Amino acid sequence: MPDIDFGRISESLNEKSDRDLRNVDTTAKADAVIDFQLPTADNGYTWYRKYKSGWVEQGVAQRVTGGGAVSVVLPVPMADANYTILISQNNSDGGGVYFQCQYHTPTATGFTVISQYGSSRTSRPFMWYVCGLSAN
Amino acid sequence: MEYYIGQIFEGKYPPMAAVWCNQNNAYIEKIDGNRYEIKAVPPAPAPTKEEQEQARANAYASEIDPLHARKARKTILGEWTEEDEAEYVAKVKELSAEIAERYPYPTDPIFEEESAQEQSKEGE
Repeated sequence: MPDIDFGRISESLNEKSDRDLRNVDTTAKADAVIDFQLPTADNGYTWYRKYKSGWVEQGVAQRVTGGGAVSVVLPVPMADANYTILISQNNSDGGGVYFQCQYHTPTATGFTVISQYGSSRTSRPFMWYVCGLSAN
Repeated sequence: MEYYIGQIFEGKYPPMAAVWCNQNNAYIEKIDGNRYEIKAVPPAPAPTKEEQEQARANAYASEIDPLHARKARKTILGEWTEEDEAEYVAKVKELSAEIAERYPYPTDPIFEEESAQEQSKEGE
């Protein structure tokens, strides 16, 4: 019986599944990541994962600050304005009343967030997450 | 790559263009089928008189009403002194002025006219 190097087979399979997805059978209801970006200081801690099907998930991994209305531009443009937007507001220091955390005017390339509290409308840091069909 | 207001991208824009916009008060608009343009975020519209009135009312409730409550409680308990009264009046005046300054009414002439009319009625 020939000697089989299972270590090399395993390495080869790992490389294939990490790097070469052209032969993935999409009819089997499997989707595959074709491009991604990890959050770093250089990219403003934004991230995304684009799938072969056109689906994209993207978000920010650091609290966004700013007063009043903050414009968010998506790293990956969406097909249109119909996509899922989730926003969470940070309240680490507690206290406050009249919280407001909303988005408005979504477009294919972004949206505006109002994240503030209190009668003085003090701004609050927030994070965002988006998923849906990408433009390209 | 350098980014700037008015820059146009064909087909798609690089993710770093979005980062630049997020850090420079700009946004990207799809200007036609397959082109994107970096634009400056326009300044926020000034708050309306109604919004400022509501903001003032909220501030009075959260910042001045507790002073009234303290006075009422101490008066009932017979602990309210002349010094307390002087301090209370001074504090209410100070906070009222500060709140009015924090939430100014629009300077649109129509509002100035309304304000003048209100003052005129108060003086009658």
